Amino acid sequence: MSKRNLNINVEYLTRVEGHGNIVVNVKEGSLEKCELQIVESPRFFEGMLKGRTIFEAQHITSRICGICSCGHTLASIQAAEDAIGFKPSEQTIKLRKLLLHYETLDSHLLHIYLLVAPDLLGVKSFVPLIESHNKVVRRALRMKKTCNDVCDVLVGRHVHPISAIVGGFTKLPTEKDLDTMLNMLKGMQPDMDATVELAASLKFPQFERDTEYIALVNDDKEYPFLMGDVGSTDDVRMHKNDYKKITNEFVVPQSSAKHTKLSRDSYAVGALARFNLNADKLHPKAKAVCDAIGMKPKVINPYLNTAAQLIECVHCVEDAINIIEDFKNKGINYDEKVLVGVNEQKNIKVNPGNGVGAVEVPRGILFHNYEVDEKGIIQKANCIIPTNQNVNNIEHDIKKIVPEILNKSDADITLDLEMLVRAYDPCISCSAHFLDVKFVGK
Amino acid sequence: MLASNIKDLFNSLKKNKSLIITIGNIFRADDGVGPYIFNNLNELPENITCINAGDRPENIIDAAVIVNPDITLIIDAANFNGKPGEAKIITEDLIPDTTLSTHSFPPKIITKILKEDTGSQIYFLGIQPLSFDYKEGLTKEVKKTADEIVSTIKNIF
Repeated sequence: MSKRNLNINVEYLTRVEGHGNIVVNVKEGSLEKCELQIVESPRFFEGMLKGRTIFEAQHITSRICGICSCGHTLASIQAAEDAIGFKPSEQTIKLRKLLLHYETLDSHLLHIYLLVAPDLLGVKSFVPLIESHNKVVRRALRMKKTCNDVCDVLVGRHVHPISAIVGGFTKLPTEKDLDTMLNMLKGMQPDMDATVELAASLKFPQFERDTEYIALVNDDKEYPFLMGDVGSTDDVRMHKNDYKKITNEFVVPQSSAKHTKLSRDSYAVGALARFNLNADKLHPKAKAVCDAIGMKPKVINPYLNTAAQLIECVHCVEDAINIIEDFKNKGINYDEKVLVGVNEQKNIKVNPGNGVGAVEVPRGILFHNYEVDEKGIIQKANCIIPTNQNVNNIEHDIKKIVPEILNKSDADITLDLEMLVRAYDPCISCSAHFLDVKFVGK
Repeated sequence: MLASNIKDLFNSLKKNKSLIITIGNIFRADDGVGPYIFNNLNELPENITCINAGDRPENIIDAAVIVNPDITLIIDAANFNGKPGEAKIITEDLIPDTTLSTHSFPPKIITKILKEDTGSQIYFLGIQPLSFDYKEGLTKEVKKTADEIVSTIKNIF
């Protein structure tokens, strides 16, 4: 190992959703300090929920994240329905799966094109690509617009959905809506093929660290996003209600985000975790992409989380098409349309209870847990988001990779570390392409 | 009081096939100044089209290209260290590459594509915000400027 000294302080690796710093100190080749510091202040959403009715929880928690707003909505609804003892219909579940596909697709495409592609294509941000990769930028725009538009059609708007509520949907898609969404998704397929082609040509950094991957698992043939138990690549399988035994949150001084661990020092969630646990359940077209880019579980290179996202994009497009075609064949039961409000009319029976929602959102498994009284008023709330669960794992990745890349320049080491954090697509990644990097004390 | 170059720009919009694009998030106080102006600009002459992009600029690019404008004016809140409510024309080369959020595309991508596809001249009218708080409605300083822009455009058009 190189006997060099290194002092990296990347502040802030950050954006709207959070502020994070990468701090690495190496003295005479020995790693002295290695932290992913999360310095964002707590947001107190759990506190805000206390005393509110369970029927407005999804609108409040949707605001936790602008890009995972559908995921938070669905985790919130699932926890709420679990708490009050409401069983959603098969049609409702299928529509929720469709909504989750739209959001996963939207989020992954944004990450692949805007946040990762500039690194791999050798530019500082997405904007210069308009000169060097004009078709790529235009394709990204088209695909992003399609994701916004299909979400608009299904739930009223592309962010913070309004029609998905406890009990079902306030607006069900018409035959015309189904046709519109189907045409949009089918129109997206050539761009998806081109995206796969682009991604296959990109060279991801070589780095491996074996870790535990955690995601939803099930016993049926479906690649699980919305329902299932919680499983791990270390052969753990638990009911979602045991989420606290899975996450084992603990506090570290350098982070306002709690760390988590299960069977090892850390674990990872997200697209790569889902792929590692459920790859055999992907849509055949997505499996073909796995073969084309050489992805076979268990993949332990965290940079390839982006490749797993690409595979999931193909799966989401194809499965969304299947869901819509199924609705077109079987029809939609419009009697299931619900108007609940805050349940003033007591349309939904409320039992006091404790409920857990466990949903795979773009960045990994998301837990919501509510305890409600007999009036449906929230007494306790707890939300554990994917980025929190990944922070500890990222820190362990950094500890392993730094000694392996010490022969590189400061700039290259910094870039490798930034790319590593970005690969997890954390909610702090938005500003990751205009970081202020400081080297001190060399 | 709006600067004379802003009024000159409005006059040139009147004489050409023009497009006004408003951008902003109505739930972030003064960031909603663009949509506020859009909502108050009605009955524009036939040669002028106004599109509200809201917080998703990427959604309006096709509609903007179809307009095929000679001149495009983009109206948005912009922090240029001016006085709250101050309006300033920012030339295309000074529009930053960045975006405030990973949730949408940088406006510069939109302007570049629009220029590439239509050859339109592009101007950016930035209004200095006082607040980006999570709330609806403009501060009185920004509202005053927004109302002045609306009335000036209506008078000129």
